[in-house]
Amino acid sequence: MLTAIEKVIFLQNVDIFTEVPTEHLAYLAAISEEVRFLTKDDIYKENDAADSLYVVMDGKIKLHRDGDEITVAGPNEAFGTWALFDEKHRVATATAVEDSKLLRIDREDFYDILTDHVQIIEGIFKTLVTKLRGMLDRVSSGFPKKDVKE
Amino acid sequence: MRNFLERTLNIRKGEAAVTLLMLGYIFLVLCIYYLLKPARDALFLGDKSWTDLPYVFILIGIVAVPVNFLHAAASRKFRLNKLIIITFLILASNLILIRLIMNYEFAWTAYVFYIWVSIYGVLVTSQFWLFANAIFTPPQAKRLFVLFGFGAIIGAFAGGEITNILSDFMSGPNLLFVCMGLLLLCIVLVYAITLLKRKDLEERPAGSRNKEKPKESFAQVIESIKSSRHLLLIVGIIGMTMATASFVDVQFKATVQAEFAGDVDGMRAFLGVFYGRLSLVSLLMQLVFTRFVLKRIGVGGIIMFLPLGLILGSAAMFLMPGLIAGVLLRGADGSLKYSIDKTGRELLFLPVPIEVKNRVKIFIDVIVDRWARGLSAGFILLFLYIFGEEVRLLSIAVLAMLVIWMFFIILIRKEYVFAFRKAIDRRDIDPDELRINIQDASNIDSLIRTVKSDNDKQVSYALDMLSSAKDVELTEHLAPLLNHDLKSIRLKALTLLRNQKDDTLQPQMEKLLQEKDPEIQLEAMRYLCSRAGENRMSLIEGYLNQPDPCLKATALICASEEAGTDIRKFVNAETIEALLRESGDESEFCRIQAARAVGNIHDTETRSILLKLIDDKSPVVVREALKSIGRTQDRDFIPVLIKRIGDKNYKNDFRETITAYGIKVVGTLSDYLSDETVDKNVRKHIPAVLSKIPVQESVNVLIANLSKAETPVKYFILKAINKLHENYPELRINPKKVDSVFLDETKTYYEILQILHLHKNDNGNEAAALLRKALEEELDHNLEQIFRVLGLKYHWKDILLAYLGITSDRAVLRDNAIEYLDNILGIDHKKYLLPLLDRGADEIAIKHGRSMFAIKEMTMGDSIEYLILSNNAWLKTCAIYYLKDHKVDNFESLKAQIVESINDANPFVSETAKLVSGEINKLN
Repeated sequence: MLTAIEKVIFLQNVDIFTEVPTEHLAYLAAISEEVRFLTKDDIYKENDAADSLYVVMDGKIKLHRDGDEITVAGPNEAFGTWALFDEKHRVATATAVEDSKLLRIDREDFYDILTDHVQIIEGIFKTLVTKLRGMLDRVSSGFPKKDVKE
Repeated sequence: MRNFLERTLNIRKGEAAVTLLMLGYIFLVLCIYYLLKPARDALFLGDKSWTDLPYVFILIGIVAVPVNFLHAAASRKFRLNKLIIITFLILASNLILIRLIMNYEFAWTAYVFYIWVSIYGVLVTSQFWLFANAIFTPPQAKRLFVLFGFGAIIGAFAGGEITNILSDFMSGPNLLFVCMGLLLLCIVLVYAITLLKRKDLEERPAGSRNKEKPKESFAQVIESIKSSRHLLLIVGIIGMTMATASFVDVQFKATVQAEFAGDVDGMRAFLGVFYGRLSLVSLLMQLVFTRFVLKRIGVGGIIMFLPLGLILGSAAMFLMPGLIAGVLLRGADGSLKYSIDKTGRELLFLPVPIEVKNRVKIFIDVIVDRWARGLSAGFILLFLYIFGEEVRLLSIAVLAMLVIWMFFIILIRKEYVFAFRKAIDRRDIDPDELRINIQDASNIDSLIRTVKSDNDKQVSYALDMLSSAKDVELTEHLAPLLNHDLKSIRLKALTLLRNQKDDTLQPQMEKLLQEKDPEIQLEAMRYLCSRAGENRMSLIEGYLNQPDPCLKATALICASEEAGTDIRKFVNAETIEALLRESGDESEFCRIQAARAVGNIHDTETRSILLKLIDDKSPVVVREALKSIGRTQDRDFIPVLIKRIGDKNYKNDFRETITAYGIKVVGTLSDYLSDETVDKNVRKHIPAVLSKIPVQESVNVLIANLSKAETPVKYFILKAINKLHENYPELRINPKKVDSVFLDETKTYYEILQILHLHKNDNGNEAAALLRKALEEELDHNLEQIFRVLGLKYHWKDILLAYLGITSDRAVLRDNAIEYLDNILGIDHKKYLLPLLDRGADEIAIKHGRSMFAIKEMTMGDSIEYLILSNNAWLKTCAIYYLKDHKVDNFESLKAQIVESINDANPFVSETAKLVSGEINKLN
């Protein structure tokens, strides 16, 4: 079993948690659970209730829908992230491509610790805002600026 | 006695002493003014010509500027109570000086005395209202300020009558000694009030009063007025009111001078009686007519009274100039301007959005008022120059101004209704901020129309506003809301209906009693009880004997509200326990009502019930039980409440309940905060509670614990002090303690910076990377704490701006912020802070730190030891983890500390220490 600090090392690489101070990641680590899956095991299926986020510590997980592969998550990568923020059902199935070790964070536990660790929310907001800004920049740079000479 | 005060004067328990002292204060202040005012006018008119009056009006405007400036400067330096006492002392000493000057019959004595009395009048009355606002809450103000207005008028009347009586055996100048004695008596009263209200003055959240409002530029104020037709018309009306008043005053004094022709004592006696009785007439107008007229013709009608009265007076002055016409004219002005017209003028501001009102009200009340008076004095001089010194001809100018004034009124009548409807739509008027009750017929009409709208938010808002309407029968309009879909609206309507005179809704209320909602049922039962008259007790008893447990439970609350009656004996531990035993669908309902009832009858037997209810499975029950605990103010609950202060589900409710104890709980919170055996997770929530009890003791407790508190408690303490300092700048913070914390924080920063620098090139494994990241985060955190401390020494907004610049990603902003800090910080802070802000030059900063704080140069091993011995649990964890794969110079001595850390109270530290210790043992 990993200790909290060892889990922090994985969690700090999760996209959504990059801006969360490591000290507060330790509290997330404390509620995370190590889970193991064998090759071809489904971690969850499309339309299942979305109730947790996963971080790959070891192995590979394929995300697919209707037979089409969406992506493959490898070590240090997270999937099912949005389950923390909305209650919609899973939009894809997650299947272990090889024997895998994952960290699982349950949404309810996640909300429980947020009440005492607002820095986690601050960190998540920072990441989301940075992403949003990046998207806006990309969108705006995609539109040619109006030439004043026209 | 208490009943008398409560029933007749609306003074509640605990308010009597201070209210009576305040009444005495305003009575004396006005009495003195009305002793001085006739003396001032008589001296001036006995010595100078009435045509000199415009000059003195202009001089008053000029002198008021430095007086205001000095007063504003003094108000920043002194607390209000001290400032008032100092002002009284200065005024009393001024009186002695003026009395001495009077012996020498200088040509300018009459001018000086006139100006002095005029400034006195404005200064002392505005100080009184400032003091009253600081002492009383808005709900108290609504009830008690009417009394003070009454006290002021009685004071004015008494002053005038005393002037008349004393005129036979005391000269005007000697009257000044009487005034001086009364001023000293005022000091005694203010001192007594301060003693009585000291704690409340400190404890009471001063709300928006003490919050610093953003300074508005003159251009912004003008822009706000220009962009609103409604505000432009208000400016026009107030300007004309004040300008006309100067003309009227000159005309009146000219007739008095002509009538008494050199008989100064006779003039003084007459003026005393006139001014005093004019105040009485004004009071009668306010009491008898204002509400009556407002209800019938609305605000647009009542602001017509003053110009109409002045038309009559001016016509009389034009046709038959003399004392009678002068009295009629000045009488109309004096009796209407500060009664009916004043109410109307204030109501004109009602639909103005609160932020705009804050911006422009003072400008209109002070600047427009003064400019109008100053300009009108200039016009009078011009008029006298062109048309000659004939009093009756001034009436032509007055009549011309009245025509313009009435034209503005006609325009604003439509504009007001339009603006009021818009304000309701935007929900711009804050019902809690209303210090006047809504009486205006057109306002009520607009609100009633809104109550019938489909927009739920507006209906709810209109109901809040209507709760301040008095003597308006609303039953017909509110009754349909009893069937509204939203419970909150049904509840508000029910509460309002209970206060109506109409009692025709009893059948509907009986029906509502069947609703299985605890709050609706309670309000319905309260309505029925309020209509039962003498049968109230038997009605409650009847409900208590009902088989329906819900009705029984609600009736228990009604019984518990009947203090001092036999019915209250039904509410006891036994009946409450019986309710709590109810099972099935009604169980939660019964527990909710039981929680409410217990709060009203709290005794030792029911204490255990409340303790049980705060662990109830229903959140509503828990919250009601907590509210009841707050009402009981029983200290025995405090340990339980503090223990649960960080409760996952009810954190805010527990905090609010503790806050409800006010200053009483500060000592206990202090004990818990400083007790290191208490869980950090409990202690870290205590500062937030203290920040909601804005008293000096809270600040003292927080400051006392600041330097010794460990992470993260220290951060929460700083946040709480910042909050108190920002919202209540009058609370004192020991500057020496702040400086000492600043030095501690800065030293820590330099130490961590040195450690980070050591590890900067350590490109080892993930443990090294994690430690580096944790150190960087600690530096950021530490920097925030340093700026939070500086926010206590300097203006917090300046410091916040600088902090945002420093932490910005943009180099330009960082550089600007450093430049800004260089300008605003004192040398003692600058020399420690500025070097550490230049992150491109860490090595130089570290050298600075070493020389300033005598920090020793560290090796890798020293740095890890420093972190392991620090009281920062996370850095300790990371440092221990670092040792899993790194052998540092003093590794052997650190091993013992790792083993010791296995028993650390922090789970991350102990878990990591166990892991690393195991790894080291394996290697060995």
